[in-house]
Amino acid sequence: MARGKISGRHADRAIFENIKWFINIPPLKKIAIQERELKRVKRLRGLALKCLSSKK
Amino acid sequence: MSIFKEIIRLFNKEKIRYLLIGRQAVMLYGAPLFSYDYDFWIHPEDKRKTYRVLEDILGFESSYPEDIKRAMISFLSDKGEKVDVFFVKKITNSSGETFEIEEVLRRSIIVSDKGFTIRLPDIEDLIGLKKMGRRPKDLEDIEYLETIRKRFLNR
Repeated sequence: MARGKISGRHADRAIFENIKWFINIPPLKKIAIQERELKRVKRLRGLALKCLSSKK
Repeated sequence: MSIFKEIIRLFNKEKIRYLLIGRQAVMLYGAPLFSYDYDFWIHPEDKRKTYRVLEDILGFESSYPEDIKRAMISFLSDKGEKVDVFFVKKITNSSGETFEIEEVLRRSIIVSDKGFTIRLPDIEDLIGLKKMGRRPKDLEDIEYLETIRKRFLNR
């Protein structure tokens, strides 16, 4: 999903491939994928904060 | 129902003249990019109705009271969800192009799925609105939108 540090023609290709994967997904499913990703990021963030506070 | 869908459902129900802008709109156009917040551009005449939906019904807290005139107001929920709303008649981007809300609404598109509808600016307007910001994130969004416009929508 994230394309990282790719430049020039490869970046264009990576963007194209990312869109190709995602564009035809129905809107409600796109929203559901987004919400699942956000939950995952929040959980990881929570874990990271827990680790940091336990090291103190 | 998720908070995002609930906001949209109530905006539609209350006939609020809104446009979903920002990264969520870019995502609905087909870019797998994710964002924590929801950005809307709402007709200033619908400010009262918007406050009623976000504050009174959904329990968000606004950054400024309704009677304070600000171009952009943030609404925060106790779960950390953030909704940024522009209550202005027109927006000028960094290239000097001006977008009038009534014109952008007239050209807007409706994305629908199983009876659920969301109003988005036309892709050209969304690209123009994205040029308000100059952050790497905005440039990435524009790159995606340009690719979608040229290679998937053939425009």
